Amino acid sequence: MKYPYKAFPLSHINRVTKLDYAWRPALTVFISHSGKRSAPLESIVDSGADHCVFDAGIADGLGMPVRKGEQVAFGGIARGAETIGYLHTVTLTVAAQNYEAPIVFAYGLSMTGILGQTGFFDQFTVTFDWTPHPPCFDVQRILRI
Amino acid sequence: MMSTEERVKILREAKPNSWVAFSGDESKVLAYGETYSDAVRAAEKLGETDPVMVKVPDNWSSRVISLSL
Repeated sequence: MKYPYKAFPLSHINRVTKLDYAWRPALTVFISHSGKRSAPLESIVDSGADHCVFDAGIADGLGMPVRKGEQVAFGGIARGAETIGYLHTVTLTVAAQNYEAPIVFAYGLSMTGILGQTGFFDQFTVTFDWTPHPPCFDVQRILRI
Repeated sequence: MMSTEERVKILREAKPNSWVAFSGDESKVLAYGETYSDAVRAAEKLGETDPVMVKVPDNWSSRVISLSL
């Protein structure tokens, strides 16, 4: 399935694009746990992320014992600051496909969630295309026999 | 689906560190909340069973997103 990129505000005008917003590959997914399903979650597709990480407020809303998950530390591209998250296995619904996926939930994230390599890119072939405007990306489930 | 300009304006003007609930077809904003659950509940009260949820960051700086555990 093809999805258009979505626009996100920028606090400053991008010096390269001259725009005050950025196009990002955002995909709406669901997280389910113990019979409860989240609302649709606008998540960023991030091929540079090792794992899928979501704001822990979502897990709280599902009644999950967030802090009972395995504690993991993760960092971004900048040196230094690490964030603590909690690893859980949940059902992820992406492009109408349900599957079990490891998700890290962390408090205080600056976005809804990120779809990374383990739990997303290992399940789908993803093709990014900046030919159209807005850009789009294609998501196809990897079929394993 | 709302226009790019409208979407950007809604997100930019939302309170930092809050949640925005869009309608299921993303044609309009339905509710805001301090937490995910607050925003979902507010949208559900308006009859939306599947609000599309977006978390608003502290600031809308450019992102270089990459995570490793």
